[in-house]
Amino acid sequence: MQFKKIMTIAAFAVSGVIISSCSRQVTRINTDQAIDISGNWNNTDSRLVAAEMTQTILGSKWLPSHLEAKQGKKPVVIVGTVTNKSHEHIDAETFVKDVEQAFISSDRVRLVQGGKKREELRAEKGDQQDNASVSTMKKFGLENGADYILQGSINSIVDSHKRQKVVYYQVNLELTDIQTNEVVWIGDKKITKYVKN
Amino acid sequence: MIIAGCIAGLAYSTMSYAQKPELLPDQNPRYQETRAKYIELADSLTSTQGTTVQNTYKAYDWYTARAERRQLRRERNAAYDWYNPYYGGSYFGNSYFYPSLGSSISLGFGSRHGWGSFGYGWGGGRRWNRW
Repeated sequence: MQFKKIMTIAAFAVSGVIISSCSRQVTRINTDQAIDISGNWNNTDSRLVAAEMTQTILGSKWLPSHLEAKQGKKPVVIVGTVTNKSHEHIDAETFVKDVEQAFISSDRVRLVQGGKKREELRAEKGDQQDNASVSTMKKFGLENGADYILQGSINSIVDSHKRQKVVYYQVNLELTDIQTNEVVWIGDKKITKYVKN
Repeated sequence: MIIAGCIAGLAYSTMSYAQKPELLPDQNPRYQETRAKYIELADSLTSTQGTTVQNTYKAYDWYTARAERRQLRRERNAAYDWYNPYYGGSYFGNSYFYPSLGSSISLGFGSRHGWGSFGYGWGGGRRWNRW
């Protein structure tokens, strides 16, 4: 009887240890906190790129030059394609959205939609032609034409030997005058990591 | 008849001239050709706007490559055991020699006696570097 009791307690104890060792622990952290786990591209890299780009694009001279040439009329920007030519899957939207947000919150640059979102807007306008009341129906042909397009690329170089690895990322964003094809601003952020396995 | 033809021709040329938009100062007179071309292509060329086009490459990483080699070796050995449970190892389980699946089926002799033991035999197995 005593033995049975001991065995039951031991079984409970062992199962408790197993359950606690297998349980996943999740801790919420600040988005500004830098935690590098694998050495791959992570949220810290995206945040650093966003900070660099938003700071330089609004502080660069293309903006006052445009305002001067166009009698204070705010430039209209469209976000084009960002090509990821690195060795990792990186979505540029995580930092491009910060740039867009900076444009809008600064109230110095106007932003227009492009790509799939623009298609959706036009589809909605098309739908309104049949279904909305005449007074609220939005018309075609009154979109804002962009003055500039923001395009970019992500490149990387990997140098590895045995357990050591150096990864270099270069993120470039370019702002080009759509009328003249003149590049008016280039922003870049270079990140290098040393990874030792 | 001739006069009527001349008048019609003159009217047509006047109309077509009138329809042609005026060129801005320094504007290339052949811009209409490019305009026509890109109006056709606009939808497909702008579909990726606001997105990231993934054009990644596979970088060589010694550590990852080693892990991949090990994985491949395990898979191959598993397949090897599966297909040839009795007449598998030409090299009698030498851990540095791994006969390929195809050759082991056709040429394998003997049996595997366990990992780490040396042995000799037939087979088209490839020698793998130690890692």
